[in-house]
Amino acid sequence: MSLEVSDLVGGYSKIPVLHKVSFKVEPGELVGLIGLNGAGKSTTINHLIGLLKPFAGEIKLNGVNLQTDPSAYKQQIAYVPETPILYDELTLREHLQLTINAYGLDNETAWQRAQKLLKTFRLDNKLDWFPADFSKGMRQKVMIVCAFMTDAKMLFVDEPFYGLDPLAVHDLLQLIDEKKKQGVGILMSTHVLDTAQRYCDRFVLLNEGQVKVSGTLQELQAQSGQPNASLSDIYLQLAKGDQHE
Amino acid sequence: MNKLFEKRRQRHFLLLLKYWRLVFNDHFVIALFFILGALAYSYSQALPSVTPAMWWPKWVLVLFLTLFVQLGRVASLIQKADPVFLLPQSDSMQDYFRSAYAYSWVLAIIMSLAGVLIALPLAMVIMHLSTLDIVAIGLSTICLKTANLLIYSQRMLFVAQQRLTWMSWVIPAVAWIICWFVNPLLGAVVALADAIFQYVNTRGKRVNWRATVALESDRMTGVYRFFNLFTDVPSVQGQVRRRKFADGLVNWLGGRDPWAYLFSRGLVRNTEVSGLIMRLTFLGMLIAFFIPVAWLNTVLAILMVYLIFVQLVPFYDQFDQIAFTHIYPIAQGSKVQAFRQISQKLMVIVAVLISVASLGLHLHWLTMLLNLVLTLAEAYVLVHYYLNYRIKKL
Repeated sequence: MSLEVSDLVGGYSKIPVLHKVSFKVEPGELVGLIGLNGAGKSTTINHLIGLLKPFAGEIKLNGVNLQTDPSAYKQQIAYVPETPILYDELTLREHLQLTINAYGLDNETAWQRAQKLLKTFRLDNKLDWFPADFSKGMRQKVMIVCAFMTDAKMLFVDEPFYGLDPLAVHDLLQLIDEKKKQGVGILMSTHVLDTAQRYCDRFVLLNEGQVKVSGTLQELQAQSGQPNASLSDIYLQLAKGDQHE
Repeated sequence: MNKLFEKRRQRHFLLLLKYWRLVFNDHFVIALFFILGALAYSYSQALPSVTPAMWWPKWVLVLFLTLFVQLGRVASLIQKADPVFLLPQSDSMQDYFRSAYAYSWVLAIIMSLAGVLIALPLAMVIMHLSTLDIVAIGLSTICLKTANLLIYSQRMLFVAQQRLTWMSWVIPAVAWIICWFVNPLLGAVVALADAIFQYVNTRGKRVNWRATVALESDRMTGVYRFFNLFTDVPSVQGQVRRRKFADGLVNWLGGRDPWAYLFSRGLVRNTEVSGLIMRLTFLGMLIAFFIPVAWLNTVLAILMVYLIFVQLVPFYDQFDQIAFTHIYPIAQGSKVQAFRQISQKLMVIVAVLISVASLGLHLHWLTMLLNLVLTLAEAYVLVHYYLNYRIKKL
């Protein structure tokens, strides 16, 4: 039972950006999707949440195939986008209600969970605000609350640390930890490498649309032949190596 | 700097051309021409019943012409980045603004003279006008419009007294009152004095960049909003108002379904869409109220319902840029279904309002009933059949 991506080829137009990308995310595991700007992190995530259609390859979550049964697949996922985009016409309260309606969650328990999250991110007194009144960091927090209040089995988090203050980053990492304990799989794309190194269980290193290496830090260190190297050393070596070729 | 304006004017012209082409490529325009035709027809029908003894025609002329000299603004075509990039050129910008003023002036004068042409038939019915009088009236329009454009330009300059905007209404009104009640020549003298005063007041003042940028961006929003009546203009994004009082309406329109939840809130709170629908409905009610010819009244009521529906349809795409609805586990067809349900409710309201207005002053019950039946049937056809066609075209 897990997210399985096999031989995914895809992109925005006809030119493929991703070349045979394969990896797995097990339940209760935080996997870091690591790469430079333009390496294909967001493209990968856009495919995994069904915003883009793969040219080839398969995406399966707990045995449900995204292509053949999108509705059942989407019931199991939640997503925090890189750039927070909210509905201008909906208040914060209505964004949460919309999420509850869309996932068909139980109203009362979902609101309880939401209240807790709102308190954590100090948004609980802003329920009647419109997105226009929020700062960028606050919007990002709204997106996080919306995704984390669901009972999705799999979370996709795209560059979550942009625009968050240090306290919020800390809170988010704690939330991720709680979700992991509940058996939720999380795929997080980032290029904040030292944070990733400290919190992720495994890593998938992308470069130019290809998976260069994947595994735990120890596995990566062993593969690169540098037993004490940090994630950022390993990644830089990989990326530079490609440039010299 | 002259060249810069020339280049921008060309680009602006191409942009307008692009939109005009889209405007004339739509059923909407046929309907609009029909309404204009109906108004012209009603005007010509009403003229013979006006006699010089009536008290109001002169006031109508004053009101109409005062309104008409408000049309048209100065297109400075200044862009947001200009204060940064052109700051060192501030002093040589005079040439630029002179070209901008000249360009807008020609267009505005043509428009104002067209207004005079519309007004003249009514004027000829109630009073005797010599050729000299007509020339004086034309001259008044030109001077008043010139003055008004200068007042508008003053908002882009550092002018000591910024509060001259009221003059763009009061002076024309006074000039037209003198023109129609005293003597057209005297009115022209007042108008000329106005133009000279505003010219002296404008000369040699320096550019207020911040105000200029804000003013031009306002103007472009207006232009885009106009085109947005006919086609989808990407840069037009309405503001949002909470409208707590309308929560009942929101709940009645929408429901728990995610798409219905979104559409109902968007339609009620987005000032762009809700404002447009309300304005058009109000216009439709006015037309239905005042057009006495029964068959024409019915035709116009049907046309208005059609126009309003066409304005509603682009809202179908409003939320497509936001990933949520693509990620939520919701069924494929639920979007169309939700939109159909909500637009049906709205169109019923619109049809009933316009039909009730067609009772008019003399309570034409038969016209009203006929309009009600026809517009409701029309709404049904639009929502259940025409909608599919329109959505495909989006």
